[in-house]
Amino acid sequence: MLRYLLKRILSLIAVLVGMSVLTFWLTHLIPANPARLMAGQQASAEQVAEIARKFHLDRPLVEQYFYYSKGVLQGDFGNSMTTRRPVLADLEEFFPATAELTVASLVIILLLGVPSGLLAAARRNGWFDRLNFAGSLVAVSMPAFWLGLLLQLYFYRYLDWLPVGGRLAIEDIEPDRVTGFLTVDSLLAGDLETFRSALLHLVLPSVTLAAGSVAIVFRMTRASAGSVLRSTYVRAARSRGISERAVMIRHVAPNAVLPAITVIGLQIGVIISGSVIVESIFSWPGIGLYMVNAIKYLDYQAIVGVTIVVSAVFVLCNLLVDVLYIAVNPQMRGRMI
Amino acid sequence: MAFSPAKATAEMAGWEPLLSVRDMTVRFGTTVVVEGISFDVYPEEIVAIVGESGSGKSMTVFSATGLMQPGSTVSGESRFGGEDLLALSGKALRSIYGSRIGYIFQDVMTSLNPVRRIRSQIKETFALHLKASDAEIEARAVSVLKGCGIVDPDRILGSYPHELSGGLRQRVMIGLATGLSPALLIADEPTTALDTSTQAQVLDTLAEMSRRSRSSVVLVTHNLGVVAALAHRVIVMYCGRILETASSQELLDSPGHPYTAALLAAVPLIDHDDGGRLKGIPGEMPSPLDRPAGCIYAARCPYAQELCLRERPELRQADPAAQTAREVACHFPLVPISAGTQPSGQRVHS
Repeated sequence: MLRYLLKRILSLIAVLVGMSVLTFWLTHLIPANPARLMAGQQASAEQVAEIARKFHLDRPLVEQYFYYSKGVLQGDFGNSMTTRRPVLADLEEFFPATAELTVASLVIILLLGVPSGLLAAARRNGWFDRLNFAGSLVAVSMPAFWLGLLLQLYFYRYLDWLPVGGRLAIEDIEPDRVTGFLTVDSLLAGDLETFRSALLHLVLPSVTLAAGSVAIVFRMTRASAGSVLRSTYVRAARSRGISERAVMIRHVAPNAVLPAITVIGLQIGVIISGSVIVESIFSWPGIGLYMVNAIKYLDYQAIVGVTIVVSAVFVLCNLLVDVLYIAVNPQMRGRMI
Repeated sequence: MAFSPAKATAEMAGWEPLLSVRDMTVRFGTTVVVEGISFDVYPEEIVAIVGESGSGKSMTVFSATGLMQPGSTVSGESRFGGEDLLALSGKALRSIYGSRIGYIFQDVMTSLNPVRRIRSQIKETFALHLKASDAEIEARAVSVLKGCGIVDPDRILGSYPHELSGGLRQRVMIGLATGLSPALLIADEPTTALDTSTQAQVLDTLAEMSRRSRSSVVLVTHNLGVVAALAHRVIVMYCGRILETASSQELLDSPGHPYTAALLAAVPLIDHDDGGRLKGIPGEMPSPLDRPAGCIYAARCPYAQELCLRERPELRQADPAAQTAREVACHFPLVPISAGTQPSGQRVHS
C-alpha cells in the first residue's frame, strides 16, 4: 500500500508539472502583450518596457516559466492584474465557495445517484426504473446553463421558494470565517438563520451542477447492480433463504457501489469544470467566476494559478478515491498490502 | 461403492418420496427447455441427474425446487414435505431454503460474495433459520466447517473468498448448504470447476456431510465417474426429457437406452487400447426451438426406426419380473421392457 501510494504521488507530481508547463505555454501563445495590458491604455512605451522588465516578460518563455515555478514553489503565484492582489490571496478567498458547492453537489450525487441506481436495478423495467432512465437521459443531455436558467425561472421567479443567486442574501450576516464553508461557519457561530439561508442558496447551483453526474452515477450503479444481481453469489444467497431486501442491502449494494466509486471520482473533475458556468449563472463568488473574469481580462497569473490549483485538487481527489476504492474492496486490499 | 437403498427398496419399504416431481415443464416464452418430466427422490437417497450440457439437468433441479431462472415459466407439480414447491409464495420458499433445502453451485469461484468475510456469510444464513445466540451460531459455524474437513476453521471464517482455494471454497459452500441439516441437498456439478485431485476430496466431504445430516442428494453431473462413486440412482436426461432412470449399478452395467449406452462408451478410459481415440456421439442435440415430433434422440440414434421419428416414446417400467426400478423411454430399448406396453414395431439391433 505504501509503495502504491508513493508511486501514485510521484506520478501526481509529474502530472502537475506537465499541467503547469502546458497552461503556461498556452496562455502565452495568445497574441497579446501582458505588459501592455498591465500598464493600461495611457502608459508610455517606457512604462510598458519597465513593467515587462519587472515581471521578466522580456525574457524567453522558458526562463519566464523558470521564474514562475520558482515562485509557485515558494507559495507565490504572482499577482492578479484585475484584483491587484496576490493570486494566492484570491484563491484563498474564492476557493472555499467552490469547494462548498462541489461538496454539496457530491452529496446530491451520492444520495440520489447510488440509491436510485440500486432501486432501479432491483425492479428492472418497473415504473421507477423507466422514470429514472428517461430522467437520466434528460439530465445528461441538458446543458448546465439551460438547466440553471430553467431552475431559476421556476423556483425563484414563479414559486419564489429559493434565492436566485449568491451565497447569502443581503440582509444576512456573514459568519466569522473558519472553514470558508458558509454552512459550516454559520453552524459554528450558532447562527441558524444564516445557516438556513446559506443552505437555501446552495440548492439551485448544486442541483444544476450535479444533475448530469447524478444521471451518470445512476446509470453506472444500475448497470453494475444489474450484473451483480445476475451473479452466482446472489443466486446462492437467495438459495439460502435470505430475503430480497437483505440480498439487495448486504450482497448487491456493497459490490455494486465499487465501480460507482471510480465514476464518482471522475465526476469531481466534471463538477469543478462545470462550476465555471454554474457560478456565472448563479453569481457564486467562487473560483469558477474568478476564472471567467481572469480569462476575460487576460489575467495570465490568475489563469495559470487557478489551473494549477484546480488540477492539483482534481488529481488529489482522484488519488483519494482510488485509495478509498482499495480500502473498501477486499480483493484489491489483499493485492496492495 | 456406496450402499444402495435404491428406489425399489425404498418403495418396498413403503417410504414416501421426499421430493416428488410430476409432469413439470419449463418454458422460456414459448420455447420448451424441460418437457413434462416426473421423478421422485426418496429419503437419504443420492440421485444423480446426468446428461450433456444443455440437456436441461440444472434447469430441472432448480425449477423443481422453486428456484427459477428469471424469464422462465414452470408448470406441473413438485411436492416436498406435503407442499407443492411450485405453488408456494416467495416467503414460504425462503423459510425452506437454507434450512430444509440446501444448494451447492457449480461455479466455486463466484458462489461466495467477494466483499464479505466467510464468517459473516455463514452466520447470516444460520442466524436466519436458527433461534440461537451469536455465540451458539459462531460455534455451529466452526463445527460445521470442521465437519467439512477444514482444519483451521477460525482462519477460514476470517478470510475473504478470494483468499481461499477452489477446494476450500467448495467446502465452505458444502458447509453452508448442509450446516442446518437440510432434508434435501441440491448439488449442481459441485466438482466441475475443481482440479481432479481436489474433486475426490470434495465429493467425499459432500457424501460424508449428507450422510451425517441424513439428507437426500440430487447431484447434477455429466461425470459418470462421480455417478459410479456416489449415486444410488441415476436419471439420464437429454434435451429436456428423461430417457432412462435406473439404479446406478444397473445403469452402468447394462444401459437400457441407446443414449445411455453412447454416453458410457464416450467415457475416456486410460487403459483403452484404441489408440487414444475418443468416442464422441455423432450429431448434435436438437435445438429447443426446433424439437422433433418423435423421439428426441432419434436423429443421433443408430437404432432409430421410422416409428421413432413419428411417435415420442414415454418412460416405461422395465420388466417387473426382473425386480428392478428401471424406466426407459425408448421404442427399442436395449433391455427388456414389461410386456403389454411394448408398442408394435420390429426390434432391430444390427
